[in-house]
Amino acid sequence: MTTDDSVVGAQDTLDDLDATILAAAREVIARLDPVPAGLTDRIKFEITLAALHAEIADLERMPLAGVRGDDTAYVPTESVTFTSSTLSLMVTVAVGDESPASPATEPTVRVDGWVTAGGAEVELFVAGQSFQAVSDAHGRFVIEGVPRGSARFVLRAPGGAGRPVITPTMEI
Amino acid sequence: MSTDTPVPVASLASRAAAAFTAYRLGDRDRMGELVDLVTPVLWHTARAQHLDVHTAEDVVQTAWIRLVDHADAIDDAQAVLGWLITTVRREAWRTSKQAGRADVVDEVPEAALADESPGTAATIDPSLLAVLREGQRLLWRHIADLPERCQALLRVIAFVDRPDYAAVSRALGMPVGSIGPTRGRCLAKLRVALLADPKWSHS
Repeated sequence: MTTDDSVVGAQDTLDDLDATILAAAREVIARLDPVPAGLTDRIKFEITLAALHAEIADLERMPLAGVRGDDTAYVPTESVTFTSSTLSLMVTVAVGDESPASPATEPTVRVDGWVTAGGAEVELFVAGQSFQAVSDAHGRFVIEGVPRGSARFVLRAPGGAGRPVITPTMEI
Repeated sequence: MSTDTPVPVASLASRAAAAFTAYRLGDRDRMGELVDLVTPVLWHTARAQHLDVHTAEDVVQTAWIRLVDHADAIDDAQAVLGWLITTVRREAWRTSKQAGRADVVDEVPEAALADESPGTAATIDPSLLAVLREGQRLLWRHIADLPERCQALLRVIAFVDRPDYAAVSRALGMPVGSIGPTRGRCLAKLRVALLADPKWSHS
């Protein structure tokens, strides 16, 4: 291995040319190996979750056979149940039955949910977006136009009482 | 960045410290600013340790969650940048070791990797080189020709400010070749190679 003194100028103080080289290197490296899109948003979300001190719900997956949408279409659905010490949540995801507005538009899904409390605040985080709903008197809620991706639900009891509940990630 | 006499700018470490201090005093939103400021450096720290894109994302996320969990244990807010870089480096090492990589040693290496390694440039998808201008491709070739540890060092140093170089070199465990206040072996090698290349122009 060489020592620092064997390379010309290694002991010199940094100058403007060094600054120019490093700035150019920064530009090149940022283009060749960019920070993945959405990474900082995902980090901020994880930090928010960590700060919630939420209870993490357990996942019970219950795959169902697809249900018949109409005579010909076979609409796949999946029902998933999450349980916690305070609230439980069952969600069913249906692939959007309407065609996307244009071929360039990503298809969306409809999420039907049921919480073991009426008036619970439900927040769905998926693909860097969040969707809010409040369960009705029977604990039901519907969220439409949801993009596909890794999703997590945060539940708060009516009036925000008690610890929030966060589900593990599910693919929708 | 211009080649004119540099206007004094706050270092990345100082800006990170300001956001972190405000966060600890209860302004929770400032954590988002800290994430935006420091994530690029952490990304390149992880990638310079040969992690693939997916693993690098996990490692960087883990470091941030550690920071939230240990926010009160950091005495000097000015040290938060170095703390995060060190955490990413250790987490990257731990992850690689778990994955059973043969070239990972039993201790967090002082200077990340041996000079003979294939080079951090090997983690770059070569098809991306097409997006570069000719001068940028030339610069990248010279970076890729550097010894492994120099590539790893420059890849991170390029994303911090000049007053940060010495502390960041230390956080990377790179006493040899470190940059700041002197040019150091790695940057000097790159500079010599560029100046000797008739095709290179820094205008």
